[in-house]
Amino acid sequence: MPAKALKHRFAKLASYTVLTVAAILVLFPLYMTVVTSLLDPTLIGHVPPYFYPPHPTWGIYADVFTQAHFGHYIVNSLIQSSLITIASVVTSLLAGYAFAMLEFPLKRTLFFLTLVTVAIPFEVTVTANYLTVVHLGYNATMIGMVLPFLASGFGIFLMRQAFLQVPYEIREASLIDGYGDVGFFFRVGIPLVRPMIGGLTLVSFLSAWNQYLWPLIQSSNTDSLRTAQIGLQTLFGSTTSITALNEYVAASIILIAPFFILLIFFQRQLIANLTSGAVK
Amino acid sequence: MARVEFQSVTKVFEGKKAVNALDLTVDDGEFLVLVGPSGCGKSTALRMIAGLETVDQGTILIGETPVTNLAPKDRDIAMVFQTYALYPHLSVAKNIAFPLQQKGIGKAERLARAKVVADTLGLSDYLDRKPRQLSGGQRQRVALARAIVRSPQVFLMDEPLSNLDASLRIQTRSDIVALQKNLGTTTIYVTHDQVEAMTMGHRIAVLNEGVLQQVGKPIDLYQRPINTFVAAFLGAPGMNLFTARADNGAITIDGATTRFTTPGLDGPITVGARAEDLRLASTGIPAHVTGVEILGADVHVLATTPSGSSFTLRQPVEAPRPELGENVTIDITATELPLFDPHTGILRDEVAR
Amino acid sequence: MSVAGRRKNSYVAYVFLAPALILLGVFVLYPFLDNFKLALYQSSPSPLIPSTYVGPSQFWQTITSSTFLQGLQATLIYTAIVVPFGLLFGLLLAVLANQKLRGMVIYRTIFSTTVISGVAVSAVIFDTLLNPVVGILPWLGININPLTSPTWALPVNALIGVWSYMGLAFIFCLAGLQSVDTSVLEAAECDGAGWWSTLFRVTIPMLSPTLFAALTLGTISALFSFGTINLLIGANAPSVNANVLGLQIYNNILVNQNFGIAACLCIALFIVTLIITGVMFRFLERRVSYAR
Repeated sequence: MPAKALKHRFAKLASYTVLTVAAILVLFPLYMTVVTSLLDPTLIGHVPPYFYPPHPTWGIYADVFTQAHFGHYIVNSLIQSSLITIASVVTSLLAGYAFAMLEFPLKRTLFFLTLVTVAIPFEVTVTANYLTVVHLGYNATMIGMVLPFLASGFGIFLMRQAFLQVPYEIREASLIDGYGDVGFFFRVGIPLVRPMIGGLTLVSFLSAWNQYLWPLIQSSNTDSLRTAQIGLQTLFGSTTSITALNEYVAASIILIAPFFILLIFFQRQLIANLTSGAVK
Repeated sequence: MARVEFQSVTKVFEGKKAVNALDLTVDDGEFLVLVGPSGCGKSTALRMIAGLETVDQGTILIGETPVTNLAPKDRDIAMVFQTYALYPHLSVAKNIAFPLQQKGIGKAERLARAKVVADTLGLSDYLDRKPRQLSGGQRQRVALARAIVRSPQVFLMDEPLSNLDASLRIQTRSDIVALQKNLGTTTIYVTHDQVEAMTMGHRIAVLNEGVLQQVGKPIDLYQRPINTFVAAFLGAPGMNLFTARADNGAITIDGATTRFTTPGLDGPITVGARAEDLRLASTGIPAHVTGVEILGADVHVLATTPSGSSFTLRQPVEAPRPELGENVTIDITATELPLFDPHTGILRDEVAR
Repeated sequence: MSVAGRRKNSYVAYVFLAPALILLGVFVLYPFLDNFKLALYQSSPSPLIPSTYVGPSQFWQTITSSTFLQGLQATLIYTAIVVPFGLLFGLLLAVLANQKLRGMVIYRTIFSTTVISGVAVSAVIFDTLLNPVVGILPWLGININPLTSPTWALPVNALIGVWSYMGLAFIFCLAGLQSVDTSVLEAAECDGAGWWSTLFRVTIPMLSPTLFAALTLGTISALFSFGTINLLIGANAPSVNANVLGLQIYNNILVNQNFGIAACLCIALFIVTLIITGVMFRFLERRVSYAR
């Protein structure tokens, strides 16, 4: 028994060691970024580098908002990401429900076309989209910023998978109870796929928040439309002095901190969603 | 081949004893069925033999070897799972050969041996198929073949029939019994289905709430269950239990005197009687009919006595049937009746004749 | 079901589908197809002035130019580093994090973090690590700036790509591992398979649908990515062998306003993507085993 207990403890210790080393490696780049943001500018570039800030200077985080207009950019990002997320979740829910629960002519063709859109990277469509938005008169506006992303083939696919897991007997029971499709969708369908809605919301918001190419195009001549990513890029691109370095470093921390916190709370759910839906 | 022995084995899950001080010996070559309601600890006991669960207290022996701390692969056992647990990415032949591959047996030999086993189980035509292309019954046989192929010391089977449909289950039941008889390998078979337990095992071990209730030949357990739990659990339907009184040795059930006596017994007592030992009569124990089930050759009459003992009576379909809701009287035809302590439920030494 | 009922049903279906399908048609399918028209025109300086028709020669000229071929090479090298390593590390982390140990939630959270940093943030994070003025590289005795080195600029950006993609691969693989039927793993244990044997002969084959999905998605996104290169190298990209096709598309749209060339590049890159994913389906998908 003791020999086994010892072996067991050794295996456990080995597991934790490997896990911890891996965690340090994964986190190291991010950690050094946080450290750099908190360093006094005069200490940046010191050899050997500081692996912890001796006198953390939190003031830089305030500067990011006051001097670099970062507050404004974050508000833009919040508006842009929220609009995209709400619209794409709603359109995905509706279409996913139709593909999973309804029968109609051309169903297979339309679903195939939807899957085709998943395989087309946004970059391939950017030229014509730019021209479309210019022709519609929405170039360099918030509408133009969000217009191409209000529906998502991937979102439709995810919601279809979620609705497919709703036992069809539930739909039949509700038919007997006198629910039409609209009533069923709102009162039964949506509550049943709520976990997947949560997952899709998180993924949509994150990918909208991290969008780069399109916001850059839309705000290239319109500073007031910059999203936080573009604000960071501009800050980054215009920096030559070492003292401004921790300003954009701090800005980048501000950009990911909310997601870091979300991840801590929703990581389990995110993986559970993927387990039940996309991966299967 | 080997015997398997539990020596006061205990397993605790979240503060609750899933298996409580289990002492049980399975003889070499024996087919033992572990049976009990769901959550009784039977699967846990089986998984402890396999090494898939750790043992909190006590020792498990396979042959003469204590295996309590051995990894599953070092115990020389094979297990058949309820879900079959086939490797979805491997063909039938490779699924069956998998355990041999782990033993380091060469490819040609292990595929040849897999084929032999597949032949005996009627799987020859499916060797190249993937599990998902097979029916439930075929998957079940692949799982059996995978267990057989390496001639382990012990077979462990965890409800291997419960995912099959009824007719296939009956067929497979006798197939497994025949197979075990041919191979002579010690087999421990877990089920919640008392019909499987009665028909398959050399001996049955009944578990309830982690505690071993009784071990013995199916017919012994059927005829002399050691307590009211085993009495009511085994048999279809289970033994009827009547709340009764003994007055100076004379047994009365719901005020009705019976012809049964137990000299020297006085006070409340529980009387057991099988459904086939009851019949409708012009006088006897009063009861109210709550259901009539026509099974074909037999009819089950469900009824309740005024004091609340529910019971089932079996009669041939030709016999006159009572109406639902009718008040009837019942006679007990057995030559002797087991008596149970009304508080502990334990079988008493004396019987009523 | 009655004809009336069915008609009503499809009416509801089309109403439900309309918003999504119209948007996808206008902003994904149409612009995708429009590339084939745009590629035939030489763009005018302003999107509002009509362009001149030049025909398919523009496409052939574009894809035979040395700029394109160098870009293609850079793109392929970048993808060949990002996808295999990112997937491998993601899988490794997922296997580590799939153990039943106390505190695993913390490790899982840490391993997922690399998905949350977008292009700009990743660029900043790695600029902090690699910038000679910050001091980590000089401390390690490396005195070159990898971002201006023709040898290292592309691999370093690919490393950033590996780091970003690793988190996504991790989440996919962990989700896949958690949906593996545990009784199959127990069966392997009973059948005599040790930890490594179970991992390579049972777990990873059972994970193959997940791995294949992560591989194709990762490949498509790697072939088109250019963000960190644009931010960290920018206009120097051609001189340090990092002028990936995604960056060329971006520059042709935004900097040169040369939509015709951009469309040609889009078509070419899309064809490359089709070929690569096609090869993957042809040679790998057969080996993927779907459980049901």
